[in-house]
Amino acid sequence: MKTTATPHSSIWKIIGASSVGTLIEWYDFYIFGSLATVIADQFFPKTNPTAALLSTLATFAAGFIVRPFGALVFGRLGDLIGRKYTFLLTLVLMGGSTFAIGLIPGYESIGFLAPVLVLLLRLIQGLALGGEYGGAATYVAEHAPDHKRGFYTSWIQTTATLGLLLSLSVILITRQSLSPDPEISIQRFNEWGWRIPFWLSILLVVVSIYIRMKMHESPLFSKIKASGNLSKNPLKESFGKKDNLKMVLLALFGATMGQGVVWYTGQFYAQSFIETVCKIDFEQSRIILIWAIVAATPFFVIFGSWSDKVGRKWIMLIGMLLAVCTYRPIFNQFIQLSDVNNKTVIKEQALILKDTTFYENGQIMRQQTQIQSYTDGTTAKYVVEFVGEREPIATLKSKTLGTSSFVKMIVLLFLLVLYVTMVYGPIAAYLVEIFPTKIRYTSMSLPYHIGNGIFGGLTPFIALLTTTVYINDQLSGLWYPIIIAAICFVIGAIYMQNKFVEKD
Amino acid sequence: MYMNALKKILGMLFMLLSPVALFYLVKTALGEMQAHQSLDVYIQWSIFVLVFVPIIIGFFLFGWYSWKGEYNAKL
Repeated sequence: MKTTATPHSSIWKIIGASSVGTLIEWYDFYIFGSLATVIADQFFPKTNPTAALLSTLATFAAGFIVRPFGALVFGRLGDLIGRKYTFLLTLVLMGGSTFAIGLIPGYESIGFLAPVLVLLLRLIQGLALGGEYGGAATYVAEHAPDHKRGFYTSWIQTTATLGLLLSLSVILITRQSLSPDPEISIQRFNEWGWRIPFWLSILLVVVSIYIRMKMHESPLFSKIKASGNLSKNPLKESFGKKDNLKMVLLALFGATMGQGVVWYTGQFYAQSFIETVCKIDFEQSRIILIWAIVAATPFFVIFGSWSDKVGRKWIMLIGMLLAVCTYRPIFNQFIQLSDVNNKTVIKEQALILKDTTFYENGQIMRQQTQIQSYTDGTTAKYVVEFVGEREPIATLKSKTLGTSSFVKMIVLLFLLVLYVTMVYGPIAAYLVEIFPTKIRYTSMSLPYHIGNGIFGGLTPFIALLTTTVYINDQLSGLWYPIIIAAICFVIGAIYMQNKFVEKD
Repeated sequence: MYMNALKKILGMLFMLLSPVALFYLVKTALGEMQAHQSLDVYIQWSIFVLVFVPIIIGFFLFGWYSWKGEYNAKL
């Protein structure tokens, strides 16, 4: 793959325009996931089985089926009509559907039409995401000089993480700013404020479309178009010819499969683990993730740039190997740091926040919300129920860690995101280099979205399923990413070449 | 030379593992559907079978190419 040199100032405009659009697409995709519980209350009432079914479809179909399908549809378009117009189209589809989700009246107002519309728009989101990434990565790579391709494409790689950061920040800020009283603010957010992050998307998308409209077509694509060498059937050439299909399979089983599970474990499963298993408070768990992401994000560019010098292969594979070897000790530390049994209680008597007495089933019930403080600054919120003469039952609701444990938690999560930067930073350059220009968009998009959408996207589900089978081991959910990353490491180490083969 | 031999052996292993993975996938899906008889679970597991069957076929093909020496280093 030989590219003609693009002027220094132009390449930064290209990276900026491509990255901002891709970042917005990730933002749009994540806010739905981050607000899944709120959205479910509004559109998918659990009491109605059909609505609950639509909810399952929205969750699983958008992530697993539609993303690879979008990769095929838009990849083909990108190889036929060009990169620029294709990833403009994906941006419009993504932004439009996100904005529209924020406008749909709830289930209580329009009944079944509400969940049906949400499902439809979520499917469009998945489809658009499937087409966006391959286009942006290909577009930047085709402008970048050969010796700096890893460095330039790594900016595109930061967008997935920064999109998550942006979505978390917008949600946290909106959640806290709807009233001076925190409780009322959260209540308002759950009622209608959740729509604001969706509406915000349209502003971001309009700006990004304006920037992208001014961009030119990729020079490599323009060259093969001018010479009449465009592929007539990119799907057939990508997956119907042995020479290309074998590289698609290698990219999937030797790179993207492991990269996908490392990414989803580091950024999504870890967040869910510290919130649901460690019981860290909603806001503090997100603040921990935000700090870890902020600290680790520069490493996407560092590893991307380094891959130009030492090759892509071993940086990605060492990231996978580190994940395989250290996941269990790191997640075990999460449990230890948040376990209140390892801490010293300050006062025997907890602070009572709320005390209510009521009648239920002919019995007097009393419920207290108590805050217990510990010497390291950690506080734990309990709900204690008193029923008749029985022993009171205390249920731990959430914990807020003291400074020392909080900082240690950020450092550990930083390590997990660092592994993400190792596997993800160089992968765009690796993928674009193993496929020829005329079918590059199609060929690289499919293994990427199978690796990330299916292998990665399934991580939280399979991890949860494993913990329900092996109930005595809270870390059993990690076996899925560990095994997949280990298989991928072995395949990658034996089959992948460190220096790319020039295809054009 | 040794690497090519190793790729050939691994290719055979991948081809043997593919039907095992397929059997395990279908068995787990049927087991889960029988254990939790709700439309929700049917849809969920049907989607998993639908997406993983082509991946397992791809894994078999990867093994086949490896066995045939398609990934061998050119001497």
